[in-house]
Amino acid sequence: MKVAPIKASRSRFSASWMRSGRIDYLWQTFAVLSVAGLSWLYFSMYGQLPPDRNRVLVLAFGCAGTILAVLAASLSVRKRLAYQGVGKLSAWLNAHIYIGIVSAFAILYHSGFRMGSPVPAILLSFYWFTIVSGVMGLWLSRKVPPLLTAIEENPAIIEDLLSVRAECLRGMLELAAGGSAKFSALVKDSLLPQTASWKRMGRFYRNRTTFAEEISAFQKEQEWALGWLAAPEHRAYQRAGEYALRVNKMNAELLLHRVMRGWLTIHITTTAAMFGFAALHIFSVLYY
Amino acid sequence: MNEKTVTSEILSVLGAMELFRGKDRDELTEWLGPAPFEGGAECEPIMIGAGQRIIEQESFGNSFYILIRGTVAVTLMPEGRLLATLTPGNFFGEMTLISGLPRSANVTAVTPCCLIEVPRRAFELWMRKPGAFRDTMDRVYIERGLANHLMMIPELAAIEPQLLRDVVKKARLRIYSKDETIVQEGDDGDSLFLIRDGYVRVVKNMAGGERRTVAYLKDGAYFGESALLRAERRSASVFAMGKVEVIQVMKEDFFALVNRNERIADHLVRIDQKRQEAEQASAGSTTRLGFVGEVVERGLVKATSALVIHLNACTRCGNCVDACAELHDGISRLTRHGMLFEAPSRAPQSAPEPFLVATSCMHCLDPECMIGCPTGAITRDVNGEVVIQDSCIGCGNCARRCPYGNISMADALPQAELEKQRTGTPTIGGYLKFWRTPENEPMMHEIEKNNQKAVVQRIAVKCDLCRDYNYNHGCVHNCPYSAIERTDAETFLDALRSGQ
Repeated sequence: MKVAPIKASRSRFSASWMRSGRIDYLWQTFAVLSVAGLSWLYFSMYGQLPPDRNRVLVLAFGCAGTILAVLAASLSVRKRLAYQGVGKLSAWLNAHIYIGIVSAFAILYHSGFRMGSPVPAILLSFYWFTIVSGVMGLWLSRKVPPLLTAIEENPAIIEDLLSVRAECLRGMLELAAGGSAKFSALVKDSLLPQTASWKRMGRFYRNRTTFAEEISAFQKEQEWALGWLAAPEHRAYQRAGEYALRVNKMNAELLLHRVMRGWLTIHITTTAAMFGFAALHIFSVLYY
Repeated sequence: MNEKTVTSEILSVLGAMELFRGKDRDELTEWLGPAPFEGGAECEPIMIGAGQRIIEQESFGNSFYILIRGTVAVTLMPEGRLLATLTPGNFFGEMTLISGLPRSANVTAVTPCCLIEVPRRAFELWMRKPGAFRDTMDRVYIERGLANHLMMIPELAAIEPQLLRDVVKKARLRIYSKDETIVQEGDDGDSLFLIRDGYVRVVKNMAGGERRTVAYLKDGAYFGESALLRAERRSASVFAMGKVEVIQVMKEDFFALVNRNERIADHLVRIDQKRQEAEQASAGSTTRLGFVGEVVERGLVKATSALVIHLNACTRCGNCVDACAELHDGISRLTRHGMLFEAPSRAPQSAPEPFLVATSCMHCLDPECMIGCPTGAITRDVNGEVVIQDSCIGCGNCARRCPYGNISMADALPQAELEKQRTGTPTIGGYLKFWRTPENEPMMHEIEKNNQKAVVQRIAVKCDLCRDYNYNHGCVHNCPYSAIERTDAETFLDALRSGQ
């Protein structure tokens, strides 16, 4: 015998984006207050204290900056744990961004606006490169999605784009192989270069148009070639043109996907290098 | 239930019920007997203490109950109005199983009770067989459905119960399928229609021959009163947008109600005037019922938990899909394809906001996938989640029935293989997600391909709202840009309207 279970929950709902503005605001407040506090400490106390206490202050800035940088970098660990009850990834990303900003100021005050000897100089260079690439990533994450949405017909993953692009390219080359010598030459000399044309990809970005909106203009541009071909081949040439434009559009989409991935590669690589040099710097300071 | 649990008390109560008219004790024992396969849902006797809630209004359920001992009260929230008191030999809970709608009332034990809980699968089997069970259930469904629906209309709350019962007896329940005409413009108005379940589209012929959709109406709304009140012909056509159940109240019964209660008459005249004004405004306007219409037309409005991706915020990083796969044995229950919508922007003069309703179970209000599962493996729990139980045999019926392609068939790998997938040594390329290629992507089918000896069974898989993870939806929790959302259609539309 069992008892009928009764429970009630809002398990079907999960509203995160509606509250993201408020969370952003809290993090911004934290960052502004922390930077103000660090700046007050640096400008009011640095140089005013005896040398040994000055050194403690500088070291404190360095320690704070390093700890904050390590905390900011823990985002990559969170990414590896799909969900283990450790909070939303968006909250971690917010923490990553704002803690990263505060750590930049701590390291800046630790360096005293000087590059110093080669190891700290390289470390600082990597640090600033990481910060700049992070800001760049933030900017890209705001700018790329609307652009991608404007030009794509349906959101697709990079693997899908690659396979469809290969199919389109194959279709175009098969049409070329099956046609007359003139037809084949026109496809190879006129349409094939269009598939990788930066100018044409730029049109997609500039005009924020989809394939359907661009195809008529593209066909008009290619009308001259029809004069060279026999009438039965006109439709085949137009189809080859559609393939070419589709490949170009996919290249435009792929470029944006790769920009996002490429940026992340740079950001993570410089971060890794920065932590390597930071370890070297800490070791050398402790050793000497 | 086995022969030991089917007591003589149960058999004597069931034997006296109209539902089981003509069944002898052996047949009843067989009806209540164990499921035809191991792990299948079967009838069970349950004991309920006095004051305990058996059915929660607005919850969903998979069971039908027969009262064997004790008394239960049927009440309607929020005011707790007593609708009925049921005694042994009565039954309840059939409305949700037939219509797919949430429970329409609370059922609470007044005294300690013994009930038989009949699972959906058994109920559907019984309903398939012609006989007293099906006939009684059809009749009771119509009577109770009409009574419940009419009682929920505030204007009818004050009406004499006898008059309401008369209306219920004379009213007809009509069921229409998709695109069927319920009312034709220009026809004589002979009845009023109350929508019990589903959506309808109101279409009007405009000057110049254009046919324009002027409104979408959903359950709880009514139409056809205008032609009755004005003694005119029908001013618009009404089409079913899916399976629609309407209650048809004939002209004479309608006037019997209206003439007995001034509040109803005033209310109907007011509603009619408002509707006429809205239709005139719509006829003069060049805009159509764009976004809301699209949401209704494409079925999003049925969603109780749609996965919405805000495309202008989504960087296509794929974390949502990866997280889903990681949390569900390597098989993602969502793909980033689906229905594209453009919602009107919150800020004036700015571009519309595009969003994608991803291919992932929407936990529909009226799930078509649940119809005809041979083992009853696909069920809906009290919160409305549609879930696939372990008893799935992989027939693919639910996947074929889902109109949105949100259920897929996947290889159920042996536990050892799943463990290998979970604990396998990660490669450097696999660790660094930004370097992910199809070659280093952990794919279940690859493992299966490399292990030809593995016994692979196909099962249906769909979004389970991360039940095993305390409903912390993996996809939503792992989106770094807060671009993904699980919500129902109405909340989402309200959020867009209020600009939250």
